[in-house]
Amino acid sequence: MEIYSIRPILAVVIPFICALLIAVTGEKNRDLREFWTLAASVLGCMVVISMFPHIYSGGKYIFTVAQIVPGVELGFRVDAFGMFFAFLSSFLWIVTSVYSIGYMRALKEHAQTRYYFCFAACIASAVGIALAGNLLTLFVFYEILTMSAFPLVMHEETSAALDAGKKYLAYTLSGGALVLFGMAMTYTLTGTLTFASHGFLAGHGSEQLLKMLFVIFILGFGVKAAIIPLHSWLPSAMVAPTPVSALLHAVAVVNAGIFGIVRVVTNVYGIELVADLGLLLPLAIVASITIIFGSIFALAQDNLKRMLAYSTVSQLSYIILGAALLSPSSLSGGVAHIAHQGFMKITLFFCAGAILVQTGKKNLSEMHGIGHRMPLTMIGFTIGALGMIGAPPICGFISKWYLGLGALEAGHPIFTAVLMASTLLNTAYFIPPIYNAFFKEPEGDLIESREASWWLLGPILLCALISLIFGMVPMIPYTPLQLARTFLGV
Amino acid sequence: MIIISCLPVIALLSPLIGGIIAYQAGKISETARDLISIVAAIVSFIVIVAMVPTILNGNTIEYSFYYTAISTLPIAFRVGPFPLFLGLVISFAWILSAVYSHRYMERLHSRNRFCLFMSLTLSAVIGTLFAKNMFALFIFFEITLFTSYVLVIHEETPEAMAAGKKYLFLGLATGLVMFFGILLVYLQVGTLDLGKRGILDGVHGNILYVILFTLLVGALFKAGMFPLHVWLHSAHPIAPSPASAVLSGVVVKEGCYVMIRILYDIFGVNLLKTMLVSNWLVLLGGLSIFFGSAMAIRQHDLKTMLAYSTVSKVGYIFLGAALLTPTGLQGAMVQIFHHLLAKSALFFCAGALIYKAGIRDIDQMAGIGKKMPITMMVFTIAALSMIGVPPLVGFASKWYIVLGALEAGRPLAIGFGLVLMLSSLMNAIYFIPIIINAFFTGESEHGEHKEVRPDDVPLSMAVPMVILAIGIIVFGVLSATTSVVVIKPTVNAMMGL
Amino acid sequence: MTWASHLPIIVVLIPLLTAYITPMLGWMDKRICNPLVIVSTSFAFIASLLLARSVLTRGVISYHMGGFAPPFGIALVVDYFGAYMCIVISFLTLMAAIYSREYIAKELHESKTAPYYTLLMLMTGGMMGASVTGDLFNMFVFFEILSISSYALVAITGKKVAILASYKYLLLGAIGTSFTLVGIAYLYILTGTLNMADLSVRLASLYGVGRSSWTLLVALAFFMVGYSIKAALFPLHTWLPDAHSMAPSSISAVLSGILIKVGALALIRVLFNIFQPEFVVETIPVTSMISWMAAVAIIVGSLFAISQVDLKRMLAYSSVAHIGFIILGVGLATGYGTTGGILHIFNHAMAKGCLFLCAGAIIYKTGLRNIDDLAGLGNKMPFTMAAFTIAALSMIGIPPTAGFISKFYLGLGALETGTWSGWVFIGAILLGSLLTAIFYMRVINNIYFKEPLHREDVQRDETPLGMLIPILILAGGCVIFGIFPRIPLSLAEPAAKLLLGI
Repeated sequence: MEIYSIRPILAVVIPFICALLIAVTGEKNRDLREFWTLAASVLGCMVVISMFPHIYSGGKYIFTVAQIVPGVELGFRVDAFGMFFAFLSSFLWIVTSVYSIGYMRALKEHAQTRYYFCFAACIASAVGIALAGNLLTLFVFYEILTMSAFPLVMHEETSAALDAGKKYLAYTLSGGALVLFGMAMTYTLTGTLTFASHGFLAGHGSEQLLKMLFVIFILGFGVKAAIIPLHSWLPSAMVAPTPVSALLHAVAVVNAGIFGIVRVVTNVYGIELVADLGLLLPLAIVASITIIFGSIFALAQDNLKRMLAYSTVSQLSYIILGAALLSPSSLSGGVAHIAHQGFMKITLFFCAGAILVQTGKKNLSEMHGIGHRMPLTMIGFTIGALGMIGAPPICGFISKWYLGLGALEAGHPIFTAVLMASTLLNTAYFIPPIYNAFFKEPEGDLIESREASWWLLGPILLCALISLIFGMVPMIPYTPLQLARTFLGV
Repeated sequence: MIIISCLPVIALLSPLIGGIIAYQAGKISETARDLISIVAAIVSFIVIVAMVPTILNGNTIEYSFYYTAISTLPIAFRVGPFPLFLGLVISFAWILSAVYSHRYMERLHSRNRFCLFMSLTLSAVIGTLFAKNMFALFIFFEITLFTSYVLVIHEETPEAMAAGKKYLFLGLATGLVMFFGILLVYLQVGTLDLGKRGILDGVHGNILYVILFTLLVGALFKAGMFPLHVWLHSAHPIAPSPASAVLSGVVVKEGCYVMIRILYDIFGVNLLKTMLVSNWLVLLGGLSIFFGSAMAIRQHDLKTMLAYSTVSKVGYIFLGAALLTPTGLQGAMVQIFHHLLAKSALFFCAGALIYKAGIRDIDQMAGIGKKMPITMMVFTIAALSMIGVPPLVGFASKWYIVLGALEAGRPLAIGFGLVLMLSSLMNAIYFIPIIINAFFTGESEHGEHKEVRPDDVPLSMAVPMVILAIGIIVFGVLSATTSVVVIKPTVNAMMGL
Repeated sequence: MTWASHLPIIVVLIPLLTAYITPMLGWMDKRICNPLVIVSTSFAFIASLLLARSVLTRGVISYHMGGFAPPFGIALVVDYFGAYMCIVISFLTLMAAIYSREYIAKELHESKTAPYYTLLMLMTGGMMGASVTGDLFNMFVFFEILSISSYALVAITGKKVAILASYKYLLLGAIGTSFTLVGIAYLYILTGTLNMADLSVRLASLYGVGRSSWTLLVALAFFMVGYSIKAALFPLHTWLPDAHSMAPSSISAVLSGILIKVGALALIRVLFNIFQPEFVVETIPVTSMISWMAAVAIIVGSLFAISQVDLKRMLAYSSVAHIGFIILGVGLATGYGTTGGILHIFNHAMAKGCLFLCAGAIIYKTGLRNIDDLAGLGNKMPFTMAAFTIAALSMIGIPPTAGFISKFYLGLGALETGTWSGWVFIGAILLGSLLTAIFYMRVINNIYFKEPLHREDVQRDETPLGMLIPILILAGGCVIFGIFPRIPLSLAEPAAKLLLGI
């Protein structure tokens, strides 16, 4: 059942208004500015949550704003998958906001107004992407996201940050151009861009053309999804403040790329068509390569945030793999992993940020014994890391389980092997830091350090807890897994 | 239905007379001069607005001085949707430019002359737009060359004179080539009427290609298309910024307008299709896009960079028009509109930088965003629109042009996809570092603009910029509405759909 | 017979009679010469207009002197072209006469005032006569009148260079006159008549018949060379730059503006009135030949003009180029082309007249002749310089000035021929237009946009009103007849059609 409602547009507009309020308030009244952020994040999240029951029962929300081009409107159409991503973004915004306040104030960062402004704009566009009813709307917000995340990447204004920003932009804009091209092609083929439950491209154009178009879409969205070899902007972007990394890796940006790919596979092409075209195996292979190499690169890192970045590269391809395998289990595992990865990775980044704030350390080799001084932080880190490895009862296990299952269902056990190998590699780079943190004695200036403030600690623990909950009781309603299954109709 | 009305003539004469009065008034009071020129532009704008309802109802407005005819070629005016649409935007941009000039010009010499020739240029451009036949069009087209020449050499420095010389003589030469083309057409068919969607129907053979080539040379020169762009990157930057804005924003569009009239009203779509030239023209457009962007990347002078960017954007317009599909043409028109807004805004910003901080060089702009936030915000919005970021109006045009390319045929489309992608990126490459520099880097050690206090430009300069920026956003979001109400009927009228 | 039917002879007699009265009155009071000349040229101008009106309403007028019908009596035949020329001549002379009052007072010694006006009137009378005559020998006589008076006018300042220039002009002019006289003699031997209409009929029977056709051709050749010297058609233009630049500016204006056009008129008369268009176009392609010469004249004249540093010499060379435009148009022998050529006689007369008068004004006020020294004049003499700019634009052929209309017709004419040479001609026209732009824009840039050497030079110091008015009228004409080209075309078009017999 489709309901015409302003809720979707509300979810998008609230962060935008928040951004304006932030800009107007400015540096003069910091408390008010940050109040806007918190209030809007809570409000936005509530709007998204209010859509839960109807969506969960299989309905949809629809809203049309204006025609962009004849036949294609700036319109919203909320299904389970979109709401799932919208919820992820808007919920993590609350958490990140709290964390940001602690982080930015502790480090006395400059240009905080700009930071909060762009952050809100990013959230708005991420929600827009999530709730978009057609490819064009999705693309519009996708590009706004690109542009509004860009000042965040360069926030530090050092030369490394500037280079990272340029690299980020070069990559993402090229991706955007490809998507635009693909979109235009789709429009000429079909005359519509509105997402359909089972795709709308079937029966249009030659097989050759559809294959090419598919490649264009994957390349275009793949840039943001950091598929190897299109990933290199992501590790460079680590120079940004930690909450920004959280935004990139967990809240909005890379997820947007993944989301785009899944949308194209499921709602533009439709699963059947993709399968018919025989495009899945190559996609799965690309994903596998990314999984393995991302992990290997992560092994070589000493900088904690860079390691996490490569871990993201690897983890994101779980999701793509899930979509590529195209069995119900693998798909639901993959989609759920968007949220799972988000919660776990944000925990890890928050921890890295907390350590940075408290000790100024960035490199793993300098963090020996940190668990003695910042136990709660490191417990959170441990939970996140174990989840990444895929250890039960943390949510990472759930996704990996469904993915492995799906690989078998699809008749490609080799991908299960890939998952195993990745698990091993993940273990190899996550366990030593944990070991060093807890089982070595702190030395040097670490001896003096203390646990972070509750502004920082709260979000860490909350996210770790949620990761645990999603892992332990995946069958209760409204968990990512359940939403994924609803969306896929499993 | 054809309605005889002298409104087009009033729109044309208002800036002409206003400019002359303003010139005289300027000897007594500078404020009075600027007010008069603004009022003249406003009158022109209002008169054009007054024609809107009539035109939207599907009528055309005509006015002829039959006594000015030689043979069958009167100096006559006809306003259809396309000229009206463009005239609206242009006269509006002119108001902004006139407002902007008031403070900007206060430090330059020969302000009265500048004011006069700005008005004269507007008058000539409007004449070009509203001309009923190619003969009348050519008359105004040539006048524009001379009036804008005075704007180009306003500084009177040796560089300005050299740039002006290049502009003038190449303009004359290409104008003569175009004139030759006009003669050919007239001898072949005995008419130069622009209202018939192609008048060359009975003509066959190579002469058609000669006509196409010669006519386009003149139009493309004015438009600054590659390889006839050689004057643009020296002439536009050297003029005072309000003039750069109208040169790049408007006079170039005049060239584009004439180019579209040549393709669609002298030749007509069907004839061009049988001539099989579309691909070559598209290729030329692609080259211009590519070349302009590539050269823009290499520049250090902000205004020169903007000028090269114009070369690239004109490539878009040409490409869209040369696709010969409704959507392509629509893209070209949106691009005309977009570029008019965005490039004027960018040049206004460049002017504000010169005015306030004396900065011309991109490298000196480090940290300027913190001192001149409004200027640089406008710059950012316009630059993003140039890159084609949705939902700004630049995106809409790119979208239509791509669609048009895809409509036209597949091999073309793929090649075009590449060009489009490349150019988007290249735009980003030359615009983004500026934005980054302005907002994200500290002031350089040399401190070229240390003395600049963090207050923005005077209100009369800020307002035009902000209006343009708002226009970019609003028309971006409403692009479908404007397209349905204005552009689609225009395109249909021109394609005969 | 009302007085109106005597108009053909009136237009000739007014200036000639004035030329006789002027020295007598000038002997009494020099100040009376100028008003007298102005009044009489005004009458001539009005008479020309009336003449044109009656030609337009009644067709070609044949006026028989003393009532003797040709071929025995002397006939004046006024066709559209003749009437048109009368208007141009009297109009420009009027302007020059108005201008002369103040200009001559400064440029010439007081004692030369009366001779100056006398010669001017004689020259005008000669030109008017040449335009309306229907008799080849009369044409010769009028040409002698105008030539000799112009030799004297060139030298009137008495400067050495002027006298040298005049001498050069005299030599070449004399050669030209003798050539035409020989041509006339040949034709008389062949046909026994000198009445143009009569000649045309009798010659028609001689085309391509045995020896006599050789005589015919030699006669034609003599005419061509002779009148080409008068018209200063390249390569017989060598006298022109010296003569036109050394003469007083008011005279330069008349010389460049109309006198050489009378040479062109004679060429046209010979080509189309005495010989038949089909003969000169097809049998012996004389027109094609002179078109080629004219095309070369356009390019070479312009190139020479570019290399000049003296303003008046530059204007003189520009005349060489523009007589090329006129002759080219005539030589094309197509409807549009000949119309364009004839139209350009008028348009060029106005523009070049204006330019020379402006140059005179500059010399009058500042004594400057060198183009590079003109910086800052735009502020010093705004109206004069504005007029100069407009006239220069008309020379280049920029719309909406009159020059554009002639360029348009000439271009159409060149293409109308439909041959490859037509494409070359239009190339020459367009290239010539561009080259013209090069040297005129240099002057305009200097005037307006160049830093003057001395600040005090730019004090506002406008030309006196008496000189300014004719300058402004001519400049205004350049624009008005560009916007309303039908006015000159109403005569030029039928003139061309009549000449070509189409």
